[in-house]
Amino acid sequence: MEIDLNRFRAAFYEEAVEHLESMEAALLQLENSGEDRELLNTIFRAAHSIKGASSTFGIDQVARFTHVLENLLDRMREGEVLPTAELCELLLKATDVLAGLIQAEKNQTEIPEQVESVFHALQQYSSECAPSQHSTHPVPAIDPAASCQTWHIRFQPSPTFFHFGQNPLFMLDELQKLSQSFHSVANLSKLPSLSRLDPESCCMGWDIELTTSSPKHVIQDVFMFVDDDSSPAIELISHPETKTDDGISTQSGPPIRVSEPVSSDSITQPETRPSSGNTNGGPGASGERRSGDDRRSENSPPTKESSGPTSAAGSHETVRVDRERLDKMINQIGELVIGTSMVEQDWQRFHPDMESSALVQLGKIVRDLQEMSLSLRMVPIAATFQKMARIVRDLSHRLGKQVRFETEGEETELDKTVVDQIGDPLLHMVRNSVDHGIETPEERAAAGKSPEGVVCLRAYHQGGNFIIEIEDDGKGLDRDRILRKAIERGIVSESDNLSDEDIFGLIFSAGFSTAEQVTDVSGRGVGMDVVRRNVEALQGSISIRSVKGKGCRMIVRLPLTLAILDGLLVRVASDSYVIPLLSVVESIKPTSNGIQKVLARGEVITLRGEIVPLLRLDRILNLRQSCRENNDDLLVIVEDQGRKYSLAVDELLGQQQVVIKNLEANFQKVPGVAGATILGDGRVALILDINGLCGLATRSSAAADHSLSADQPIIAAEHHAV
Amino acid sequence: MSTATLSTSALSDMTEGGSQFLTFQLAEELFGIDILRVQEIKGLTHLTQIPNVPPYIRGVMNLRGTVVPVVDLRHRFSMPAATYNQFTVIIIVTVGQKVMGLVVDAVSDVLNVGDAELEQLPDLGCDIDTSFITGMAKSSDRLITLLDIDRLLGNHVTAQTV
Repeated sequence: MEIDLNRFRAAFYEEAVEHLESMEAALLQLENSGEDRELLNTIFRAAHSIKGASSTFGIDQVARFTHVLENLLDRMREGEVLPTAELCELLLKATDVLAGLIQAEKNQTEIPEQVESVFHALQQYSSECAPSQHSTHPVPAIDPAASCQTWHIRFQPSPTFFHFGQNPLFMLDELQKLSQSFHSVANLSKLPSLSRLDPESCCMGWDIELTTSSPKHVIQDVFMFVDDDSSPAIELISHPETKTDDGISTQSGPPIRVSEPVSSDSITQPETRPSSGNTNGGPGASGERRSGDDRRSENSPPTKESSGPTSAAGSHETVRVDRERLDKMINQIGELVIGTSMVEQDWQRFHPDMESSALVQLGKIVRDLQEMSLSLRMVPIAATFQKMARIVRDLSHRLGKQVRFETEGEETELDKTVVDQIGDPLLHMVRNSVDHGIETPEERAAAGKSPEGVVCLRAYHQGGNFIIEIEDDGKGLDRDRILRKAIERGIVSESDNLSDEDIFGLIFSAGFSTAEQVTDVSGRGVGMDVVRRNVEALQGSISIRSVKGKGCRMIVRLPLTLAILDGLLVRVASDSYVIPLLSVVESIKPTSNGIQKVLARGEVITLRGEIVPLLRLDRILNLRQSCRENNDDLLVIVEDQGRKYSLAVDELLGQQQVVIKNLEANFQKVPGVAGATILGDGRVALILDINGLCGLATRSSAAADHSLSADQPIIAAEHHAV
Repeated sequence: MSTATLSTSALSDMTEGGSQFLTFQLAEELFGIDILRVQEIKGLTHLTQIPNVPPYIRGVMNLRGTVVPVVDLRHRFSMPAATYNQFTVIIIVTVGQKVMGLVVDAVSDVLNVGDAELEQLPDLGCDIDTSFITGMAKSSDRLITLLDIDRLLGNHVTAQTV
C-alpha cells in the first residue's frame, strides 16, 4: 500500500499547488468583491481536496492545518464569519503556510516558522463566533429545530464507480453525519446473479431520506467527487419544522426489491451482500469496514476525499503527461515531417512528371499533426498573471498605496517553457510599477488623479509573437532625469541625439538601477538590466513608452515557443546556416567599392552613412572550405544589442521555421552557434548565435594580430595545429 | 606507469568470463570496441561542420532527429586521412548519456574474446598515448587493439564541457 501511494505523491504535490493557486486567486477576488458564495465554495473545495489527499498520504501537518482552515471556511460559507480584510489577510497567509508545509514535506526540509501562529489564529477565528463548536465536526452546530428540511436523495452510482477509487459507503457515512435523521434503502434491482456478478462494477443504488439543517449545497458537496453519471438526484420533499425521525413514511421512491428500512447503524449491510461473492474483498474494501464503529476509526483514510484529484470535480478533463515524453513525441513528429519531405523529394526524383495525390495528402496530415503537437506545449498565461495579483496586493498594502490590478487576455496561450521563465522578469516589472510607478494616494490626489492607481497586465498575440504589456497610470518615467543620470555615468554623451525610446531604454543598461536613480525609493537589488537579459534569453525584446505624470507602459515581445525559430536560411561555402530572423535587419548586395578594408584586415561597409563591420563567416567559423571572396557577396545585416554587423554569405536560401535542437545534448556548447536544426533534406544546419559570433570575430582578429599575416591559409594552419 | 595500472584494472573489469567486441579497420590495423556500447552502424551520411572544434570532430549528423557529433578515428589517432568510400561507415556508440559517431574505414566482425586471449599492452617504448587502450587480443593470426570508448571520447567531451 505504501509503495502504491508513493507513486501518487508527485501528483499530489502538483495538485496541491494548483489547489493553492485557485484558492489564492479566489481569496483575492473575495477581498475585492466582499461576500460571494461561489468564491467561498471554490476556496472551500480547494482546502477540502488538500485535506483529503494529505491525510491519505499521511501528511498529518497539512491535514491538521487544512482541517482548521476548512472549519473556518465552512463557517464563512454559512455566513457566520464575514470575510473582513483582516480575515482575508489571514487566509492568504494560511495559503502561504500551507504551500510552505507542502514544500517542506516534498523536499523534506524544515517546516515554515509561521505555522503555529497562523494555525492558532485560524483556530481562534473559527471558534470565536461559536465557542461551543467542536472542531472535528465539519458542520456548524446550529439549533437543530431551526430549519430542518427533509431531502430525498436517489444515488445510483454508475457501474464504473469503483474504477475511480470511490466508495459509496463514505458518502453515506458523510450524509449520516449531516443529518438529524437518516434512512437509506438499498436498490438492488440491478444486481445480477452471483455467478454473473462482476465485483468491480457497482450494481447498487440507494434511496436516502435525510432530515438535516444543512442547505442543499452541503449535501451536494458530499458527492463532490463522483463522476457525472453517478451524480445523485436530490429533491426537497418537505419543509417541516418539527420533522421527527420516522419520516420514512413519506418514502416517495419507486418500489424496490429489498424494501426493509435500514437503520443508520446497519447501513452497510446491503453493501456486504454483493461483496460476499467477492473473494478478494472488492475495491470498496467493505470487508474491513463492516462494523459501524470501525467506520470512524482514526486509521481509515477518507477515501472519498482522496479520490478527489482523479475526478477533478467534473471540470474540463485534462491528462497529466510527463514533459519529457511530450517532448519526445513532438521530436518524433518533427522527424516525421522531415521523413515525409524526404520521400516527397525521392518521388520527384524518380517520377519527375507525376504527382502523387497520396503523398500530397500524407504531407498535409503530417504538417497538421506537427502543428497540433506544438500546440500541446501551449498553456494559458493566467497562472502567471495570478501570481502577480498577489504581489501587487501585498506590495501596495505594505507601501500604503491603493492599487487596482487588472488583467486582460489571460487565456492567451504560450509555450510552457516560456511561461515558466517569464515569471521572474514579469515580477520585477510589476513590482517596479507598484513601487516606483504608482504614487501614494496623496500624491495622486494632488496630481488630480483618482487615489486608486491601476496596474494592468495585458497579453495578446501579434504576428506570431506573444506580447505582454505592463501598464500603470503612475508618474511615468522622468525623461530628463534619466538622461542626466546617463550622461553623469558616461553611458551616453551630451551630444548624442536620442529619441524618447532610446532614453527610456537606458534604464535597462547595467548599473542603471531605477531604484536608485530614477525614483527616490530604493532598496531592491535587481535592476532592469537583469530583466532585459532574461527577456532576451527567451529570444524576446522589451520596449517602454511613457508619458511623464501619466504612466508607463512596458511592452515585452516574446516568441510563441522556444522549440521553433523563425530563421533566414543562408548558404556559406557548402553548408547551410540559419540566422535567427529576429536579429536580421535587412540583406543587401554591396556595390563593388562598397566594402572597404581597414588596416588591410578588417572590412567595413557603409550603410546609409553608418559604418558597419563586415564579418566573413568562413573565417570566423574556421570552415574548411572558404566562400568566394569577391564583391558579389550578399550581405545580411544583423543587429545584436543595438550594434549592427554585416555577414557575408554566398546565397540566401529563404525564410523558414526551424525546430531547434541543442548541440549540448550529445556534444557541447559551441561558441557562435545557438543550436542546430534538421532541414527538409535530412541535413543538419547550424543556427548562428549572433552575439557569440561577434565575440568570436573580436577574438579571432585579436589572435590574428599575433601572426604576421592574417591571410586565410595561416589562420587555417594555426587552427589545424591546435 | 600510472596508465599501465589503470588499464590493468579496466581490463580485469571488462573481461570477467570474456566479452564481445566489434572489430573495425583503420588503415592496416584492427581495433575492437565493447559491443555493448555500440548502438548501431550507419552508412556515411552528410556531415555538417562545426566551427572551432578539434579537427578530428568531422561534424554533426542527423540520426533520426538527434544531432550527433561524429569523430574521425583516423584523425584522432593521427593516421593519414583516407578518402571515404563505400566501406566507410559510422559506428554509433554511447558515451555516458551522450551518443557519438565514429568514422572508420570498415567494420569487420564481432569477436568473442576470452580471458585467456587477452594480453596487456606491452610498453611500446615510444611517445604514444596509450591511455585509451585496454589491451590486445589475438584472433587467428591477427592482433586487435581494444579501445576504451570512455577514455577515447569521454575525456574530450567531459573535459570541455566541465
